[in-house]
Amino acid sequence: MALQALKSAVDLFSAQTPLLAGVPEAEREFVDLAKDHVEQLLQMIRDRKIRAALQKTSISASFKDLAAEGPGSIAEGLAQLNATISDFDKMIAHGRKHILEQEAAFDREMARLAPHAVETVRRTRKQINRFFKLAGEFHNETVEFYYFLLALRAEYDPEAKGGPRFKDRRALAAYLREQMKA
Amino acid sequence: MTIEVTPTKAFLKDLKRLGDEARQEQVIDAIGLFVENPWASSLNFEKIRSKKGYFSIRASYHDRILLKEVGPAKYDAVAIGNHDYIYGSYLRGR
Repeated sequence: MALQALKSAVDLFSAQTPLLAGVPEAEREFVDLAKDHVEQLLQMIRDRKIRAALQKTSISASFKDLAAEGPGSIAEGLAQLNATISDFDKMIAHGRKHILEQEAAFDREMARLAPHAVETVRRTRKQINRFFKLAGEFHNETVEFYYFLLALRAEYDPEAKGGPRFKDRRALAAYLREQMKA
Repeated sequence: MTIEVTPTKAFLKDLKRLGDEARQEQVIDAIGLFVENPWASSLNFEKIRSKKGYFSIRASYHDRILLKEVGPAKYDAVAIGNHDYIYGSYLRGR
């Protein structure tokens, strides 16, 4: 049950942002293309938010059931959760790279067009900015889910509870440095 | 306002796992600053939207520290996440 819910989460977040590739020379054509992509991305964000909320509820419920079954079940669930967190690690790194590479490619295209199409570059820049702002939002939904998974793990992992308490910054830093050497 | 922080075993494991001493020091600096001033702007202290009682602070470009509120002004440091959100400023200052 937990495995299925975690697998569904990986499937949900593995979708990438639509590829806004190449800048057609005709301004009208590009503005239409960018608008289509912005609409598509808006829909993907809405869809991802709704489905992510459902996934979180389902995963949380699965872990409550596992906890009720006993320590053996929860240990198994935590192992699956660790594997899912590792999948999210890779997806997030890949998704971020994908967005930043696309953005760099657009910067290059805009720089290429700028000398002979100043007006086109100026007008299309707004659409491009909107697209990448949304792409960031889309990506952040995955990051948010990742932190949900880390928090869920902390909820059930006995090692995420207890320890020495610190109110003094220097004492805390000294303790942490000492622990890193141990 | 002083905060009480408990570094848990799970947090210490994540800190060790970072490997890179410079990154470890960034985490140590961030959690130290949190003890003194949780609202320091560089920490970007914020709630985890979908998990009540959990918060995160920024340690570096990559890393965020996950905190669980266990009482008034008391937090357990429970994990280090290796990813930060994409903010407007990351993408050409939009």
